[in-house]
Amino acid sequence: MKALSNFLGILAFLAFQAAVFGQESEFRTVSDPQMLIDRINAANRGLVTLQCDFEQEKDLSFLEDKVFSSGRFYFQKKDKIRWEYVRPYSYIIIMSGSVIRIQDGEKTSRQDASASRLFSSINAIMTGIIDGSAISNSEYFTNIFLENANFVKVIMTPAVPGMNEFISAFEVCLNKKDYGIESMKIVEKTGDFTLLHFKDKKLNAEIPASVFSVD
Amino acid sequence: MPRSLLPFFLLISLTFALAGCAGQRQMSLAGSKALPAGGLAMAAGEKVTFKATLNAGKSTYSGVLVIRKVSDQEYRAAFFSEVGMTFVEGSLWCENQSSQWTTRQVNPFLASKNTVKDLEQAFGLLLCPTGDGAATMENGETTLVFKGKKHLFLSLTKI
Repeated sequence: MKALSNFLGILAFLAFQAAVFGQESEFRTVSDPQMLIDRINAANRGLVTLQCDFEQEKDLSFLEDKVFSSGRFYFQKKDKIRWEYVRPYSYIIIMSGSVIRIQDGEKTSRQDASASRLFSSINAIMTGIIDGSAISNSEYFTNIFLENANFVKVIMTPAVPGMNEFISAFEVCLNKKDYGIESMKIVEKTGDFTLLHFKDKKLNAEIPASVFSVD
Repeated sequence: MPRSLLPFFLLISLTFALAGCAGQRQMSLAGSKALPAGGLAMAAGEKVTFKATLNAGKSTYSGVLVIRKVSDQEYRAAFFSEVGMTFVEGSLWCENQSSQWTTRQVNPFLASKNTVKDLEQAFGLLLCPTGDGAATMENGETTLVFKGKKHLFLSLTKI
């Protein structure tokens, strides 16, 4: 069983490397960031729902190790999200408005995100993200736009007190075909990072309300 | 019309931070049967990975605990949420029935001195047990007792 687990881990690692390799070549600074932002915003307007699979790699430089997990992701405009981890164990996070529901095996908990200063700040940022202002202004992030032949990479450095104490940057990679997300890297202050690779994306398909239930 | 997912994945990234913090506060304890009473027995170079829930004082942390024994005396450990946000990371030096924890990284939202101290004690008790503490099983949960005070509950399941 352990050998199988190791084998699957190696396969996941190789898949990650193959996916990332294609995105990392010869990035250069975007000459007209505003034009790119306009394109991204225009492309964004038609999105209502999203479903996809994801693979997650947690890189631990201090331990010289990587930990892999994977699952299914759901999003519905404007503020409903479901992360459903299926490997290596079941763990579900549902966020609907200001309520977060976490299902850890058979245990369930709920949290009102408006109950703390941190969560309130994050909610405020989310509002900016939903209306597009977080991409185009510097209130929440300092953004650097890069591109190569096939991809756009946005390096977002948090400017929010609290968040910038433990996150160095979000690196979002979009394909140039439809500006759809390919990967996202969350870099911590130590250089450790979490890399997410998204695949089999399905846009604007109906998602049952129960998927986002926090009751 | 081309569609961009960037804003929505920014929302996702923020949810990552949010979920990591939510996990600190209200996750309930899961059952456990993985922790040997004498601490973890590991060979140099060996790595173990646990699904872990730690209840330290008023805070509860749920996530993944990775421990690597890098030499006869040194362990390195990282405890992070399911969505990848690191709670704490550091090394433990065990020698002559004593241990010294060195924190490499700690999430500032966990950074109360008491919480960090509890985590240090948990790692010490888990990896380098001394006369000051013991690990016992109770009602399906692993209980860490430090200096006679039962204040740390660590639930571990090997993955």
